[in-house]
Amino acid sequence: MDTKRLIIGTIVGGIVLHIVGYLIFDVAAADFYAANEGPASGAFRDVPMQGSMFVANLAYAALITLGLLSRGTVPSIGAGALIAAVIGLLVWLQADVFLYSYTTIRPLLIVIVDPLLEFVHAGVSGAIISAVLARVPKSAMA
Amino acid sequence: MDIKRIVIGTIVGAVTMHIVGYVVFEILTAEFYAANSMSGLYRDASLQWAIALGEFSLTALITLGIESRSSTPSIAGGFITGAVIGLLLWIGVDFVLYGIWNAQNLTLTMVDPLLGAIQYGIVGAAIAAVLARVPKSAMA
Repeated sequence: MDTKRLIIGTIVGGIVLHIVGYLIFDVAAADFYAANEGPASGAFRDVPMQGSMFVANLAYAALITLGLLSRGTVPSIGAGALIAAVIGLLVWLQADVFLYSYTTIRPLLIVIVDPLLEFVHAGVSGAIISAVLARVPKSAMA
Repeated sequence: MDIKRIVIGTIVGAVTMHIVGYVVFEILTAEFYAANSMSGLYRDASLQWAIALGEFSLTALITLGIESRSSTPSIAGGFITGAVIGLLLWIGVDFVLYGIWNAQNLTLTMVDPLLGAIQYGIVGAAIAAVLARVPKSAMA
Protein backbone atom coordinates (compact mmCIF):
# COMPACT_ATOMS: atom_id res chain seq x y z
CA MET A 1 0.00 0.00 0.00
CA ASP A 2 1.34 3.41 -1.03
CA THR A 3 0.93 5.53 2.12
CA LYS A 4 1.52 8.82 0.31
CA ARG A 5 -1.30 8.10 -2.13
CA LEU A 6 -3.55 6.93 0.69
CA ILE A 7 -2.99 10.19 2.61
CA ILE A 8 -3.47 12.40 -0.48
CA GLY A 9 -6.63 10.50 -1.47
CA THR A 10 -7.99 10.73 2.06
CA ILE A 11 -7.43 14.48 2.34
CA VAL A 12 -8.74 15.27 -1.16
CA GLY A 13 -11.67 12.91 -0.62
CA GLY A 14 -12.47 14.35 2.80
CA ILE A 15 -12.68 17.87 1.38
CA VAL A 16 -14.74 16.78 -1.64
CA LEU A 17 -17.10 14.66 0.49
CA HIS A 18 -17.62 17.64 2.81
CA ILE A 19 -18.44 20.05 -0.02
CA VAL A 20 -20.56 17.65 -2.07
CA GLY A 21 -22.28 16.39 1.09
CA TYR A 22 -23.15 19.95 2.06
CA LEU A 23 -24.63 20.63 -1.40
CA ILE A 24 -26.65 17.40 -1.47
CA PHE A 25 -27.80 17.00 2.12
CA ASP A 26 -27.81 20.53 3.54
CA VAL A 27 -28.96 22.42 0.43
CA ALA A 28 -30.63 20.28 -2.27
CA ALA A 29 -32.33 17.68 -0.05
CA ALA A 30 -32.56 19.54 3.26
CA ASP A 31 -36.33 20.05 3.05
CA PHE A 32 -36.87 16.39 2.20
CA TYR A 33 -34.92 15.24 5.25
CA ALA A 34 -36.64 17.77 7.50
CA ALA A 35 -40.05 16.59 6.29
CA ASN A 36 -39.23 12.95 7.00
CA GLU A 37 -38.12 12.88 10.62
CA GLY A 38 -39.39 9.97 12.69
CA PRO A 39 -41.31 10.11 15.97
CA ALA A 40 -38.14 10.54 18.10
CA SER A 41 -38.62 14.30 17.89
CA GLY A 42 -35.85 16.66 18.93
CA ALA A 43 -33.09 14.28 17.86
CA PHE A 44 -31.57 16.62 15.29
CA ARG A 45 -29.29 19.53 16.17
CA ASP A 46 -30.34 23.01 15.09
CA VAL A 47 -26.96 23.47 13.41
CA PRO A 48 -24.78 20.50 12.32
CA MET A 49 -21.32 20.24 13.95
CA GLN A 50 -18.93 20.81 11.03
CA GLY A 51 -15.84 19.53 12.91
CA SER A 52 -17.47 16.21 13.62
CA MET A 53 -18.68 15.95 10.04
CA PHE A 54 -15.17 16.53 8.74
CA VAL A 55 -13.70 13.75 10.94
CA ALA A 56 -16.40 11.49 9.54
CA ASN A 57 -15.63 12.51 5.96
CA LEU A 58 -11.91 11.82 6.42
CA ALA A 59 -12.68 8.28 7.60
CA TYR A 60 -15.15 7.83 4.73
CA ALA A 61 -12.56 9.14 2.25
CA ALA A 62 -9.91 6.77 3.68
CA LEU A 63 -12.27 3.85 3.12
CA ILE A 64 -12.98 4.96 -0.46
CA THR A 65 -9.28 5.53 -1.19
CA LEU A 66 -8.40 2.06 0.17
CA GLY A 67 -11.04 0.66 -2.18
CA LEU A 68 -9.62 2.59 -5.13
CA LEU A 69 -6.05 1.48 -4.40
CA SER A 70 -6.88 -2.14 -3.55
CA ARG A 71 -6.08 -3.39 -7.05
CA GLY A 72 -2.59 -1.93 -7.05
CA THR A 73 -3.31 0.65 -9.77
CA VAL A 74 -5.32 3.85 -9.75
CA PRO A 75 -8.62 3.27 -11.60
CA SER A 76 -9.87 5.54 -14.36
CA ILE A 77 -12.19 8.39 -13.37
CA GLY A 78 -15.24 6.38 -14.45
CA ALA A 79 -14.14 3.22 -12.65
CA GLY A 80 -13.18 5.25 -9.58
CA ALA A 81 -16.62 6.83 -9.52
CA LEU A 82 -18.27 3.41 -9.77
CA ILE A 83 -16.11 1.78 -7.06
CA ALA A 84 -16.68 4.69 -4.68
CA ALA A 85 -20.39 4.80 -5.46
CA VAL A 86 -20.75 1.09 -4.63
CA ILE A 87 -18.82 1.62 -1.37
CA GLY A 88 -21.04 4.59 -0.48
CA LEU A 89 -24.22 2.69 -1.33
CA LEU A 90 -23.26 -0.38 0.72
CA VAL A 91 -21.94 1.66 3.68
CA TRP A 92 -25.04 3.81 4.01
CA LEU A 93 -27.53 1.10 3.13
CA GLN A 94 -26.29 -0.93 6.08
CA ALA A 95 -25.98 2.11 8.37
CA ASP A 96 -29.44 3.45 7.52
CA VAL A 97 -31.07 0.05 7.81
CA PHE A 98 -29.34 -0.62 11.14
CA LEU A 99 -30.52 2.73 12.48
CA TYR A 100 -34.01 2.03 11.20
CA SER A 101 -34.03 -1.36 12.87
CA TYR A 102 -32.97 0.01 16.28
CA THR A 103 -34.36 3.57 16.40
CA THR A 104 -37.45 5.56 15.52
CA ILE A 105 -35.59 8.60 14.23
CA ARG A 106 -36.12 8.08 10.49
CA PRO A 107 -38.98 6.56 8.45
CA LEU A 108 -38.49 3.88 5.80
CA LEU A 109 -38.55 6.40 2.95
CA ILE A 110 -35.29 7.95 4.18
CA VAL A 111 -33.74 4.49 4.52
CA ILE A 112 -34.40 3.96 0.80
CA VAL A 113 -33.47 7.41 -0.51
CA ASP A 114 -30.42 8.15 1.65
CA PRO A 115 -28.19 5.33 0.25
CA LEU A 116 -29.09 6.43 -3.30
CA LEU A 117 -27.97 9.98 -2.56
CA GLU A 118 -24.82 8.52 -1.00
CA PHE A 119 -24.26 6.62 -4.26
CA VAL A 120 -23.99 10.03 -5.96
CA HIS A 121 -22.11 11.64 -3.05
CA ALA A 122 -19.41 8.95 -2.90
CA GLY A 123 -19.32 8.52 -6.68
CA VAL A 124 -18.44 12.17 -7.30
CA SER A 125 -15.78 11.95 -4.61
CA GLY A 126 -14.34 8.74 -6.06
CA ALA A 127 -14.06 10.33 -9.52
CA ILE A 128 -12.16 13.31 -8.13
CA ILE A 129 -9.91 11.17 -5.91
CA SER A 130 -9.06 9.00 -8.95
CA ALA A 131 -8.35 12.08 -11.07
CA VAL A 132 -5.97 13.43 -8.42
CA LEU A 133 -4.25 10.10 -7.67
CA ALA A 134 -3.61 9.53 -11.37
CA ARG A 135 -1.31 12.55 -11.18
CA VAL A 136 0.57 11.34 -8.09
CA PRO A 137 3.57 9.15 -9.00
CA LYS A 138 3.87 5.83 -7.19
CA SER A 139 6.45 5.94 -4.42
CA ALA A 140 9.41 3.62 -4.80
CA MET A 141 8.55 2.06 -1.43
CA ALA A 142 5.07 0.89 -2.44
CA MET B 1 -14.72 -10.93 -9.92
CA ASP B 2 -15.95 -14.40 -8.86
CA ILE B 3 -19.69 -14.06 -8.15
CA LYS B 4 -19.89 -17.45 -6.42
CA ARG B 5 -17.21 -16.46 -3.89
CA ILE B 6 -18.84 -13.05 -3.34
CA VAL B 7 -22.20 -14.72 -2.62
CA ILE B 8 -20.68 -17.34 -0.28
CA GLY B 9 -18.62 -14.71 1.56
CA THR B 10 -21.63 -12.43 1.92
CA ILE B 11 -23.85 -15.17 3.35
CA VAL B 12 -21.19 -16.51 5.73
CA GLY B 13 -20.38 -12.98 6.80
CA ALA B 14 -24.00 -12.02 7.41
CA VAL B 15 -24.60 -15.07 9.62
CA THR B 16 -21.39 -14.39 11.58
CA MET B 17 -22.21 -10.72 11.90
CA HIS B 18 -25.68 -11.43 13.22
CA ILE B 19 -24.35 -13.73 15.94
CA VAL B 20 -21.39 -11.52 16.91
CA GLY B 21 -23.55 -8.39 16.77
CA TYR B 22 -26.15 -9.93 19.04
CA VAL B 23 -23.53 -10.96 21.61
CA VAL B 24 -21.61 -7.66 21.51
CA PHE B 25 -24.40 -5.10 21.20
CA GLU B 26 -27.50 -6.73 22.65
CA ILE B 27 -25.90 -8.64 25.55
CA LEU B 28 -22.46 -7.31 26.50
CA THR B 29 -22.92 -3.57 25.85
CA ALA B 30 -26.68 -3.01 25.76
CA GLU B 31 -26.65 -1.04 29.04
CA PHE B 32 -23.74 1.12 27.85
CA TYR B 33 -25.63 2.09 24.69
CA ALA B 34 -28.82 2.81 26.60
CA ALA B 35 -26.94 4.96 29.12
CA ASN B 36 -25.25 7.04 26.42
CA SER B 37 -28.21 7.62 24.10
CA MET B 38 -31.23 9.88 24.12
CA SER B 39 -34.20 8.36 25.97
CA GLY B 40 -37.02 7.18 23.73
CA LEU B 41 -34.63 6.72 20.83
CA TYR B 42 -34.65 2.93 20.59
CA ARG B 43 -37.50 0.71 19.48
CA ASP B 44 -38.92 -1.61 22.13
CA ALA B 45 -38.07 -4.55 19.88
CA SER B 46 -35.52 -4.23 17.08
CA LEU B 47 -36.58 -5.13 13.50
CA GLN B 48 -34.76 -8.35 12.66
CA TRP B 49 -35.50 -8.20 8.91
CA ALA B 50 -33.95 -4.75 8.70
CA ILE B 51 -30.90 -5.85 10.68
CA ALA B 52 -30.44 -8.82 8.33
CA LEU B 53 -30.69 -6.57 5.25
CA GLY B 54 -28.07 -4.23 6.68
CA GLU B 55 -25.80 -7.15 7.48
CA PHE B 56 -25.98 -8.51 3.93
CA SER B 57 -25.09 -5.08 2.54
CA LEU B 58 -22.11 -4.71 4.83
CA THR B 59 -20.74 -8.21 4.46
CA ALA B 60 -20.91 -7.78 0.68
CA LEU B 61 -18.61 -4.78 1.17
CA ILE B 62 -16.21 -6.76 3.39
CA THR B 63 -16.21 -9.68 0.94
CA LEU B 64 -15.46 -7.30 -1.95
CA GLY B 65 -12.58 -5.89 0.13
CA ILE B 66 -11.15 -9.35 0.78
CA GLU B 67 -11.67 -10.50 -2.81
CA SER B 68 -10.06 -7.38 -4.29
CA ARG B 69 -6.69 -8.85 -3.30
CA SER B 70 -5.33 -11.26 -5.87
CA SER B 71 -3.88 -13.68 -3.30
CA THR B 72 -5.84 -16.31 -1.35
CA PRO B 73 -7.13 -14.63 1.80
CA SER B 74 -5.64 -15.62 5.17
CA ILE B 75 -7.66 -15.51 8.40
CA ALA B 76 -5.40 -12.77 9.80
CA GLY B 77 -5.63 -10.80 6.57
CA GLY B 78 -9.40 -11.16 6.58
CA PHE B 79 -9.54 -9.96 10.18
CA ILE B 80 -7.46 -6.87 9.37
CA THR B 81 -9.49 -6.08 6.24
CA GLY B 82 -12.77 -6.44 8.14
CA ALA B 83 -11.52 -4.43 11.11
CA VAL B 84 -10.23 -1.57 8.94
CA ILE B 85 -13.51 -1.41 7.02
CA GLY B 86 -15.52 -1.55 10.26
CA LEU B 87 -13.42 1.11 11.96
CA LEU B 88 -13.45 3.57 9.04
CA LEU B 89 -17.09 2.92 8.22
CA TRP B 90 -18.34 3.50 11.76
CA ILE B 91 -16.08 6.49 12.42
CA GLY B 92 -17.68 7.93 9.28
CA VAL B 93 -21.23 7.04 10.24
CA ASP B 94 -21.01 7.81 13.96
CA PHE B 95 -19.35 11.19 13.53
CA VAL B 96 -21.86 12.18 10.82
CA LEU B 97 -24.65 11.22 13.22
CA TYR B 98 -22.98 13.03 16.11
CA GLY B 99 -22.69 16.07 13.82
CA ILE B 100 -26.36 16.18 12.90
CA TRP B 101 -28.23 14.91 15.98
CA ASN B 102 -28.01 14.87 19.75
CA ALA B 103 -29.24 11.30 20.15
CA GLN B 104 -25.84 9.94 21.23
CA ASN B 105 -23.02 11.48 23.25
CA LEU B 106 -19.33 11.77 22.31
CA THR B 107 -18.32 8.76 24.44
CA LEU B 108 -20.61 6.50 22.47
CA THR B 109 -19.47 8.12 19.22
CA MET B 110 -15.85 7.14 19.99
CA VAL B 111 -16.47 3.69 21.49
CA ASP B 112 -18.88 2.44 18.82
CA PRO B 113 -16.33 2.36 15.94
CA LEU B 114 -13.90 0.39 18.15
CA LEU B 115 -16.55 -2.23 18.86
CA GLY B 116 -17.44 -2.16 15.16
CA ALA B 117 -13.80 -2.87 14.27
CA ILE B 118 -13.79 -5.94 16.54
CA GLN B 119 -17.11 -7.20 15.21
CA TYR B 120 -16.20 -6.68 11.55
CA GLY B 121 -12.71 -8.09 12.11
CA ILE B 122 -14.25 -11.35 13.34
CA VAL B 123 -16.59 -11.32 10.34
CA GLY B 124 -13.67 -10.73 7.96
CA ALA B 125 -11.74 -13.62 9.53
CA ALA B 126 -14.74 -15.94 9.13
CA ILE B 127 -15.24 -14.91 5.49
CA ALA B 128 -11.53 -15.42 4.73
CA ALA B 129 -11.52 -18.82 6.47
CA VAL B 130 -14.40 -20.02 4.30
CA LEU B 131 -13.22 -18.43 1.04
CA ALA B 132 -9.79 -20.06 1.46
CA ARG B 133 -11.62 -23.40 1.01
CA VAL B 134 -13.68 -22.29 -2.02
CA PRO B 135 -11.84 -22.84 -5.32
CA LYS B 136 -11.75 -19.87 -7.66
CA SER B 137 -13.86 -20.42 -10.76
CA ALA B 138 -12.10 -20.59 -14.11
CA MET B 139 -14.29 -17.72 -15.34
CA ALA B 140 -13.05 -15.24 -12.69
